[in-house]
Amino acid sequence: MKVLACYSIKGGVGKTASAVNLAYWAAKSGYRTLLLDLDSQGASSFYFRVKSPVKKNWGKRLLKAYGEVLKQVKESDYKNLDVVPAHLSFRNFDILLDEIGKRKNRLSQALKGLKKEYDLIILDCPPTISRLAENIFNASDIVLVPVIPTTLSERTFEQLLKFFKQQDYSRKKLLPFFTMADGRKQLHRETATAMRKRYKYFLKHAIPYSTDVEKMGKYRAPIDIFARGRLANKSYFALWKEIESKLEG
Amino acid sequence: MTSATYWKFTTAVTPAEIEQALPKKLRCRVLEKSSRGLIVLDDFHWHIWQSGGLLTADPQQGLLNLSIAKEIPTVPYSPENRFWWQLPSGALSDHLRELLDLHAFVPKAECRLISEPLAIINSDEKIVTRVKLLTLNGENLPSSTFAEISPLRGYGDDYTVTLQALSLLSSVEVESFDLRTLLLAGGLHIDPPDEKDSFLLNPAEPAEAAICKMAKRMLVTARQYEQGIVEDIDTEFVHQYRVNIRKSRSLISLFKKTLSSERLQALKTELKVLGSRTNDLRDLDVFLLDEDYYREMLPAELQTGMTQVFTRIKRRRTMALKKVVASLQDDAYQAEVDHLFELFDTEPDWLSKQSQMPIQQLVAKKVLAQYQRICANGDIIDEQTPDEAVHDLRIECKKLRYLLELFSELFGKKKVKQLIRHLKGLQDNLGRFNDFSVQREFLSGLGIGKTISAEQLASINGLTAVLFNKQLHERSLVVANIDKFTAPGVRDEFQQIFALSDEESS
Ligand SMILES: Nc1ncnc2c1ncn2[C@@H]1O[C@H](COP(=O)(O)OP(=O)(O)OP(=O)(O)O)[C@@H](O)[C@H]1O
Ligand SMILES: [Mg+2]
Repeated sequence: MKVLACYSIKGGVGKTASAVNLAYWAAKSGYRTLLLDLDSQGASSFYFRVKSPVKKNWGKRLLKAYGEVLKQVKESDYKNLDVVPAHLSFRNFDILLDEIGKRKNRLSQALKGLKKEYDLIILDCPPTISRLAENIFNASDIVLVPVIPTTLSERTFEQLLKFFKQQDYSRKKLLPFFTMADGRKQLHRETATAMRKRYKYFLKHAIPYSTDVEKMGKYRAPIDIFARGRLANKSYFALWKEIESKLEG
Repeated sequence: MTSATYWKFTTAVTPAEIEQALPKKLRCRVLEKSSRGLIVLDDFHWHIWQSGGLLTADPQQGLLNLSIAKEIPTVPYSPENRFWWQLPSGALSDHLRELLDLHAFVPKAECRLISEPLAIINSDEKIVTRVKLLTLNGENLPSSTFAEISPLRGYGDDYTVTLQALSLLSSVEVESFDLRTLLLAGGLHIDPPDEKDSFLLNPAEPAEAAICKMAKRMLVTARQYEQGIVEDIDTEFVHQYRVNIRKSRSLISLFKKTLSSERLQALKTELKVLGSRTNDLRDLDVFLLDEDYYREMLPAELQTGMTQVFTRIKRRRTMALKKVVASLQDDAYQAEVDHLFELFDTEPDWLSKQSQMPIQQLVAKKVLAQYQRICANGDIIDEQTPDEAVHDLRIECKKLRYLLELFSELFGKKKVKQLIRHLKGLQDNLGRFNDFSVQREFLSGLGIGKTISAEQLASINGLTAVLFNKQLHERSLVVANIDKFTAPGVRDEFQQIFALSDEESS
């Protein structure tokens, strides 16, 4: 079982859009996949039309035992793909983590028990650099980082690198890729070229800026369901194939 | 996590009706609908079905599919192909060879399978339960609808609600859902011929009654194959027809002393006439079935002559079949059969001592006597003994085989089977020895006539020579096989099973 986090310090960069479409393609490629929506906003839960029962504070239990995770699993409309919907209590993960103790591998332990049932766990993460983030880094085999090719995003990516270095996480876990890339904008093109030069480990495939991604909100489904032949869909598929080769390798 | 459940509707059901039965918060959406034609194929005996498999053809796609425990690839289907050897070589034809051998597979039922996957959705339009409707419409099957209802993880409540709704639509739960159960529940009638090898004999039953009862059953069994002969489905129909008549005849002559001489004479003559009608056809069938075997024996230069021979024999076979079919449909045939049944059904005459003897006791006596005869006759056969004696021994062995097989239920089937195994070694040897001489004789018959080409003659002579050598080899094994079968160990076994104590035999 592999754990893949869609993570960025910055908000609104395409973490959720990526988590949803990558989970979809992974499942379609035969991986028994679980998408864990860690963001209390519940965006990926919304796209998959799943809801958490209105139970109090199950976030606390999530961090304690995987048995609790399994109880919350919802089968999606797609073969091989299950979702653990977000819950409002996830807002307080950081406080919870403090309460439970300072251990950084709570999440990792909770996920371990899912080994028998899933080949791949995808985490849709909230934009934060905190105790939860550290748990995420510990639990993940790969941390996917969506980066909009702008100066500001470049800076946040550098921050993340620095944090990894300070905390002694393996840089090798980080897999950045470009999202919302707009080929018509000179700034986008230049930033992308410069960053690729500096960080050779950027994924080859990028996700272009596309209204088809935005339309996911309207259709409440992965892009493949409503815009099969479109570029955004093909890009996510290509990105998945590239990630798959890294998972296998 | 509960897994899917399977339901059968007693009346046809539509997605709209399902939606109506559901609570308001749930709706039913049709995902797609597809249908395919399906022909169920099997041989007369339902060998494929009986083994747990299912052979089907999809006439639109032109595919033949055999479903057995493991996955095997489909092959192209064409209604003209009715034997495994007519299919492309591969797993499917290999399995059919195992299951069917010489039997043809023919359509048993034709139907359409309509598949309608539905989704039960909630107010978010999230799928909460899946329902797959399968409708089987058949010409000779009543139409019926089945549903596979699969829960989705995390939506157990909605699943329960859906099941409750469906139970309102007069459905009953069924066990599972493979095509076999579907066909069965849809009314497919599995009707293999009656070929039970047990006669439900009472050991104390007086012999005359028992023998007539058994011989009659064999004739009934034989008659089940008539229709298949008329339709020329495969060669096994004639074969089985003859086997059963021959068994009936042998039984009568083995136990001739239990019958009045009038009844014996009538039965013997009429059964002989009945069997002999198919003699030519069977001889030609046997020869044609052995085409590969004959061809392998001949060098390349003699193959053209052989092709001519086979073309000729095929023509003759067509004629022979016509004659048989005509005679089976003849009123005279019906009258003969009726008369035979009358003879079997007449009240016993109880004329001889043997007619009143308990069947078990009589059979035991006969088996031991027959074994003794084989031992005695076998004892004087050496390498130089003329073939005649070997042929006679074969016939005596055959009689013993019939006695053992037909009455095994009276002496413990398992024990008797063991004896049959001993006997079989000798019989196979004698059988091959006889086959070669029959084949040679058949071939020499083919060499007579003005129209025979030189090529045909050359092939026939070539074959005859090979067969003669094979026969010599078979002859050289006979003495050793006789010794084995008459050895003290086997003698003891016969004694143990058939030397009844007075208590048993009374
Ligand atoms: N490639 C793209 N092209 C155009 N719009 C995009 C693209 N990717 C994402 N978006 C849009 O940008 C917005 C933010 O995307 P998304 O929710 O995936 O980001 P996020 O990083 O998960 O955000 P948050 O930090 O709030 O969780 C959404 O409205 C989404 O539809
Ligand atoms: Mg998000």
